[in-house]
Amino acid sequence: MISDEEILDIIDGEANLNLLAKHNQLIAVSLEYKIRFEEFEKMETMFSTLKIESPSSQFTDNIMGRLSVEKSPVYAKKLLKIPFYFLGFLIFLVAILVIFALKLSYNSNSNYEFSFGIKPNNFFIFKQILLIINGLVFLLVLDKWVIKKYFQRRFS
Amino acid sequence: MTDSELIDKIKSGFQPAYAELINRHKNYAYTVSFRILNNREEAEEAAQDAFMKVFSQINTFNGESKFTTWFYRIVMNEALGRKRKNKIYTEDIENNVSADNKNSIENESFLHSDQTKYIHLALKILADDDVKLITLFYLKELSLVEIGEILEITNETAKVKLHRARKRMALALNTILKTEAATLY
Repeated sequence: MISDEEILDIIDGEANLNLLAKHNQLIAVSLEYKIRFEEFEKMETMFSTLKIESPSSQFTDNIMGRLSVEKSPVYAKKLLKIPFYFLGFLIFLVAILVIFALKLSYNSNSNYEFSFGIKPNNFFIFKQILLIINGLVFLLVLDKWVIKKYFQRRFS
Repeated sequence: MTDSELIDKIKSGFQPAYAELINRHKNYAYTVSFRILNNREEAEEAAQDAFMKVFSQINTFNGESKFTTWFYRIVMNEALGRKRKNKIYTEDIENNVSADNKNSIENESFLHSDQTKYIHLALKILADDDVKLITLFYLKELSLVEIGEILEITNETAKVKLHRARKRMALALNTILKTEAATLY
């Protein structure tokens, strides 16, 4: 007797010649097998009538609309790094200032130099440059996180 | 442009590329959802939610498998999750068939829509695993290997499970059609 799996192989066109011969023989002589085969065949016929459905015409626009409202995680990942860079730079600057202040308090008369050649009398200029860079990073963060959000909420 | 190239563009921030990806795959996404949920509005919402999830997780797609493998998995999970959430319970076959039969007589439905109706009734009865296999297989777009990858099972397991699912489907359809015939007389 042919199993249900073999019947499905026959319907799918994956049966070998022996199985096909057995099938042809049984179809001719066994009513029970014929009924069983036709049940599977009917299922295949019914599924063959199914078509690929189409959604509404606004489908794509609806999704793109939802995306423009929600924050894109692709962009969010980039934005999240900026405050960490800013904080990291600030911590580094504070650490340098603290080390310099401590060393100056122990060696107030020495002509102290950093390993990269900055002398105390040039430190004021160095500090000014660092403050300007910090200020620019702060403004960038302020623009992305506060000002842009405010105007998006107001005008959306 | 291939799916991989579109995805690279999307990852670089070019959002209109995502509209192109949606248009390319929306019909199959909707069809899969509709065959599981049997409701056009629910299917459209499920398919949209699936696309939203795809976009939010696009950075996790590393391109090692085909995009459709990953995509169909999300669509199926979304549709089945919605089905469970909406508590679409399996109902008594006779009640379903007699109620639908009454409607079909009143509405003079054609043979094609009747067959679709019976398939949907049978899919409501089957377990979720069987529904996944049947839905993917009868899309006629995926090989057994791809179906196995989507469902995260081996090729051999997919073949065995598919055979069993189709047997149960045939049995369910047979029962529904016999009940339908009985209610007519």
